[in-house]
Amino acid sequence: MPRKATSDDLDALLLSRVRLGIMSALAADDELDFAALKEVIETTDGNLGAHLRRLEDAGMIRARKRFIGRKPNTSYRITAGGREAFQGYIEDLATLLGLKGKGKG
Amino acid sequence: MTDQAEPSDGRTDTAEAAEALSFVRGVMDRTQQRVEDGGGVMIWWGALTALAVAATWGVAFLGWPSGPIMWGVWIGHNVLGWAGTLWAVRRSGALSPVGRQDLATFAVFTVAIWCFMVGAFGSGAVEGWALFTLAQLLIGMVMAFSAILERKVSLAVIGLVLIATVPVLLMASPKWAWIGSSVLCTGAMLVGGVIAALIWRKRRAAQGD
Repeated sequence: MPRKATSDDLDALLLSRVRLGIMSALAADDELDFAALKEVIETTDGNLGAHLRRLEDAGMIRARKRFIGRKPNTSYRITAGGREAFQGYIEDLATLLGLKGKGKG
Repeated sequence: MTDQAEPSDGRTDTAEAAEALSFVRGVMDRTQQRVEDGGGVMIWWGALTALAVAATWGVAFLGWPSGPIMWGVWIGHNVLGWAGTLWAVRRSGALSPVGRQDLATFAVFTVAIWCFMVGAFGSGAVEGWALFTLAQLLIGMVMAFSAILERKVSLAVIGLVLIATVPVLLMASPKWAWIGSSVLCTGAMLVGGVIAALIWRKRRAAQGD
């Protein structure tokens, strides 16, 4: 059962480049399938699948399984909580770099 | 890609923050380079359909020879529509699987409309005044079902409105069915295209592009 991600979870989750890439891609587009994410992130199936599962378990993204023609297709969307957390993370980075006036917490 | 950028002590210093931000921007840019037709294709199809409908009206009300003109109008509608669509796709880049599915649905839909219009005119199986109302039903069904599958609420609503108004127009006078349906058919595509374009523009603006 996915649970809501906390700020600490997020910091740990997004230290991984693959997971940060997944969140960035899904923040840029409403919905991307596995093949599209693999193309954008440039990683292997196994690596991508493992990181997607971890983000899904944390409630940051959700998956949708369906068939396109006869082929199974899994697409992913960022959740509202995931988007909020991702934006907070980006703001924190910007604050650290002095691009923003205020930090979080 | 590997997870080599993950620091062992969990801290993010300034250089890492700059690198992370640059990485995020790069991924978002690459994602955005994937196909987004932005509704432009639907607006293009809507304008072409409006022209084809106007020509059909001309045939019906001005007494032009219907057979060859109707073939020419609806073949031209498909040829120009697909030429514009393929040009837009080539300009945008490679299609995503979901984009390919959208385009395939749209291809089936436009070919179905074309077969219906030409077949109905050629055989006289459908009375002229009901042609566009039945075409409206086809457009509404394809638009609603594909929009529901793709979770595009505004387009699903337009499709359902098209379906719901079919019996109303069929029960009204032939004149209202003829005029109302042709306006709704072209309007649905144009409005759908404008909505898609606005959503796309809003998304791009939110990303600061």
